[in-house]
Amino acid sequence: MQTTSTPGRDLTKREEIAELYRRYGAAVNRRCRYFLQNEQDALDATQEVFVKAMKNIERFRQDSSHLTWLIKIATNHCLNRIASNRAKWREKYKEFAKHKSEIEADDTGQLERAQMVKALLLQLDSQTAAIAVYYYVDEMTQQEIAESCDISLPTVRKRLKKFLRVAQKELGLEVG
Amino acid sequence: MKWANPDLAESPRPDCGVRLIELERYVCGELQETRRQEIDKIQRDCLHCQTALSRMNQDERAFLDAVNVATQSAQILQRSERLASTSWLARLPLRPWVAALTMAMAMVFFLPNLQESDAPMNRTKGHSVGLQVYQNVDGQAELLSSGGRLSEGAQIQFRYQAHGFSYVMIVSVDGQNVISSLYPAGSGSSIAIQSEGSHVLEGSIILDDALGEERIYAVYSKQALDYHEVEAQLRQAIETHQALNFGRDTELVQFSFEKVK
Repeated sequence: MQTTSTPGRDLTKREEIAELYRRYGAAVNRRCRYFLQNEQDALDATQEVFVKAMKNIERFRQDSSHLTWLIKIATNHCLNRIASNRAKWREKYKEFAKHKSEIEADDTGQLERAQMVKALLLQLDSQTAAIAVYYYVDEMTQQEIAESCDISLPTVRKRLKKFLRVAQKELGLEVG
Repeated sequence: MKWANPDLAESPRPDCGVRLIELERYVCGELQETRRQEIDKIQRDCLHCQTALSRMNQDERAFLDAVNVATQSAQILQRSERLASTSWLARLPLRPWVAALTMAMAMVFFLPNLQESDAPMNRTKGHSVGLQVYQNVDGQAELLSSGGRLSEGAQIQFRYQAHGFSYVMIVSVDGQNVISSLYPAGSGSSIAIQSEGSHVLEGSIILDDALGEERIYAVYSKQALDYHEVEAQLRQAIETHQALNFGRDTELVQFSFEKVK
């Protein structure tokens, strides 16, 4: 396949990608591992995320937070993977849910919350799942979520309440 | 453990006031200087921050040990450039393509009087789903056989038989192993189809100028598949010469032709 790039231009672009990958790769990989629960799958997904990001490199350069943008691509990518093969992920998450009492507890409950959100993913539509992760796992503000997802604040709140209804029903959790 | 009520809490927030996303930004160097200095001070005495930061730093070391950044960057560049220039639908100037598709759709199909054909569907041996490919030849629908020849600019359309499957994605791989999505147009998910009977897919496809063998794959599934997943599988199969496998609850039909001038 013919390309129009020059060797010099390629080197600069590759350096740019290398710098971004070095700086943000671990954070993206952490998000992919959270969803996919497998090191190799997460590594493959991490590359996919950067490929997707590079496709929209101009928009990427304008974004104030590259991290937020990459995490959003990673979250959507992984949720799409899960949605496209629910049967496979249902089994994985069932296994996980069986052992959730062994989840390492921490002072703030953040870890436990992250794992419980994961246990509920298959019961939610992709947008609600993503918003639940941003809010309860990443501890993003509702305003940050609205801006990142390009939706209104009331919609964010609506999705979060939907998540809480499912979580209360499935896990009996308490809302503060 | 109580969960933050979104009506009351802008965000869940630990006692130290440092949210996890801020720690992520702290590690990646994205925080404003004032906030970075605040977190510098807070984390000295905060077990929650120290634990989270320790985990993130550990992850970073493990990740950079597991990957070769130069190799990964080169692969990412190559794949993203390939994707940016590969859709043979996108290679057509937009307006004429849109006009062509609009015209095709305004006629409903270029096959307005297409009756269900008695000709056998293209199927994979042992599978029930099928695909027929028609070419518009002077306004008449001509059924094509796999392995034939088509010219750039030819207009084709598909009839499918889903036999209980609810979704299909149709992708093409051209003579230079460039992968493009035909249905859906652009990336996205498989399109919903009728599970029983034989039906024509709306819209027609105009073939571009990438010559050589072109393979069309119709991937039938019970759940919608993500285009990027399918593309990744195809790419792997092309590179490793292994059989395609999109998993359980999927079936595949292949149709090939040679594209000539």
